[in-house]
Amino acid sequence: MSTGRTTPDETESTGASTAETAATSQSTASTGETLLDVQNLKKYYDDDGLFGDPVQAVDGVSFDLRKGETLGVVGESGCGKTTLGRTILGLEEATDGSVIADGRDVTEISGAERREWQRDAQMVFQDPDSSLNDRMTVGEIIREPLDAHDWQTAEDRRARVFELIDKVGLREEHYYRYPHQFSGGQRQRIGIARALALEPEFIVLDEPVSALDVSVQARIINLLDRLQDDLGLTYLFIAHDLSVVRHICDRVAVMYLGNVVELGETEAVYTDPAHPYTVSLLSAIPGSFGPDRDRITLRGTPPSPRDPPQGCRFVTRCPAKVRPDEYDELSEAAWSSIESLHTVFRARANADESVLDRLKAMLGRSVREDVAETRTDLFGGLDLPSEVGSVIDEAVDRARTGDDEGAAELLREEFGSVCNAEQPDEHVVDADGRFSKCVRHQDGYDDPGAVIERRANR
Amino acid sequence: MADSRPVSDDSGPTSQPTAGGSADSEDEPLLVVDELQTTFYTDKETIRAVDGVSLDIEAGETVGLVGESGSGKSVTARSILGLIDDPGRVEGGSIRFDGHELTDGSWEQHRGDLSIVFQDPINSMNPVYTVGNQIREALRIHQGLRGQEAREEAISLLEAVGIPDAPRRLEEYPHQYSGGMRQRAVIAIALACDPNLLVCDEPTTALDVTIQAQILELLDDLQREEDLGILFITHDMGVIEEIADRVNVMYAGEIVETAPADRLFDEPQHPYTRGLLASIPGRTAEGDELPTIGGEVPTPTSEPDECRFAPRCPAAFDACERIHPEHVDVSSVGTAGVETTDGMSGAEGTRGMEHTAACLLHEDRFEQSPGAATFEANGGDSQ
Repeated sequence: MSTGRTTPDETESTGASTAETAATSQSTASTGETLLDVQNLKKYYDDDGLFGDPVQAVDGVSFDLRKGETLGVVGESGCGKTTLGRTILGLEEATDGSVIADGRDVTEISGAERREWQRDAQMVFQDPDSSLNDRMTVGEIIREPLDAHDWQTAEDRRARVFELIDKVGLREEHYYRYPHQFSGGQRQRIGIARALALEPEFIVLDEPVSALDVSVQARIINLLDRLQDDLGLTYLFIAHDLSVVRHICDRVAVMYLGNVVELGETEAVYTDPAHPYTVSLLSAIPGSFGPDRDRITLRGTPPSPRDPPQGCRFVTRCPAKVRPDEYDELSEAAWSSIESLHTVFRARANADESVLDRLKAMLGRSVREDVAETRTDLFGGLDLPSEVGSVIDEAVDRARTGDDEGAAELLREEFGSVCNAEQPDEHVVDADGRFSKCVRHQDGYDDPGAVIERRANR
Repeated sequence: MADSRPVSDDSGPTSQPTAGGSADSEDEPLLVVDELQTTFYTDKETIRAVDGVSLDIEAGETVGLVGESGSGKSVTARSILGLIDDPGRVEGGSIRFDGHELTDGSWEQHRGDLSIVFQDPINSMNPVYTVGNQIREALRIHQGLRGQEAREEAISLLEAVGIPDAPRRLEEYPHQYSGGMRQRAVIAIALACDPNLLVCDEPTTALDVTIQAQILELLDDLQREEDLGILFITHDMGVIEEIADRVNVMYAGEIVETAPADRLFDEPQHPYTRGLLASIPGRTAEGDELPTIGGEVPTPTSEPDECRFAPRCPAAFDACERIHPEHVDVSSVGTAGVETTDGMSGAEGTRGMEHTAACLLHEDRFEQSPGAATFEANGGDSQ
């Protein structure tokens, strides 16, 4: 601080500067050398087949992580970003695919090799309140990984802990204190010190600043930045705060429903997003911190990863979805209502319903009049072409007799397109190798951005 | 605003002569909070969580309250709704709602006129009742609706907050809703009380940015349709910029700056506001270190005879430790010329347009220039 005053909480303001001398100075810029190669990684939960479909938390993710870079992973909650980080570290067992580091697949290793990987790759957790053991002193918490890996002598470990405490900007006397005596920002520093204990080269940061106030958040971001410079660390930075990611990450991966839909240089992705989901996600950043273009408000929430839509995962909410030619003249309002109705049928088909209710409906004992009510709400004021109206009537009839699945299927067949049929491939969209998974990057289709704009202005 | 404030010379709840007088409510804002004092008594210390807060909200207006955690935002909200429990007490100042004084215990008569939406939707709902039950309960208590009438109203409320397939959703339990939908349902319950004032305490903090955009849009629509007054509390400056007409910045129990939203973001005058805005990542060039504010929000335990922000302030000078700053008009600071042409300097009917800051840098009797109050990258971390 310029005035040289003592702050009420000096503890946050000491140390860290000495880190520069303590460690070898390495450049932040990624060397281009690959540290990790993630290939078609999958993690399914409940996949023993007894209780219906598995949860497809991570569903075929591929990317490489370069030495010294920070790769951001963004997406809505439930998109699989945390599971991705945990699976790479081996905290979750991968269902399929591989993570190649130093020429070996770390999802397959065991024994000594595995322990070595655990030393090299560490994690900092989101919630500094629950990720530290309140019964241990700060010194014990930071020393624990050293003890667990039998790192050198007891004396060395102690010295190492003091070194780490200083490196993350805490003070020596904090060694003997308990986590509850610290603020959120300081607790996160303890978590970072623990992650650094074994001199890892790779750290998964799982929402490390999400629980912190903005001024404290800025200090932790600066600390992470500096540590990366000093120690040559590689970060996988998982976050839902898009402005934090823009500030700290070299490249960013955008996830939706278990898939990476776009991955590229951060600035390029932020200034000129390619995938319709990235466009929508960035446009949701509030205030002048967001991009300078019209807000696209996505309908509803992502579908359940237990029952992802066929074809493109984003198809149920996509503002640039390909539409069948024969319905070209249908209004935006009508399309929006059709998509909503489809979502309603899918939700009904997935709703927990007692077997008895289902049977009753099938036998025509309880006709579900509320479907008709919903139809009126959605299409009440709309003037639909007769062929569209009759398809919707038939779908509603199916739902009334309990066949929600069939109703959804009918709408999908009639109003669906290539987007509902096939999972899009990766398309390289710029010179730096950025890719986006959207069929609209193929020849013969209009670019997603142009379509979104055209539809917004119609 | 600064000159309309009475000097806080009394500590007990002031009974206002306007209580019950609907004639006065004509030109009085929907809610007028004046020198509010809320204190918590613990064995160790007395915490002045809300220490002389004044703000007002017009019908149809969204007023923001921002600050770091521990600055007293939520206690202010709870005080306004009469939700302060032991060991806390609303000890002074007045809260006038629609011309009626609330601090003398008359919250009960206005239950339903003021509603609150909390941060965490899952804890705001009862897990063992269906969403429909909870909306109908509010409708029965506050609007006297029952049976089919209540069901229909509940359906239209769920539709109003953008929940598709409302008739079926009504019969579901909160756990069957997604996070964003739950917050919509909580807003539907709040609206079932038919409120005039909606207090939103970090309503979007637990939500994804896409869902947050939906909720902000919804609040905006509802406000226009119902002419609601909204007090919106958040620590997210981006959200406040998006939704608020006017913003109050809170620090250690006090409001340190008040301004129309655009003006606050373009011309922040209090060093604390400048620090808050500077530390947001989006505003600093990528690769640069973020400017930071050192230290943390102190807990106010005694009557202030200093500026509570002084220990963290890069522009603090000697007087800051001796004198408690009062709000001064800073509407004409910066953007020279603009403020004089539209005549907003204290004229009648321009209530709420003023920009005030409680900082000695803006008082003429001191030489210091407010321009000095900038934050450096790295400010809190190395010396």
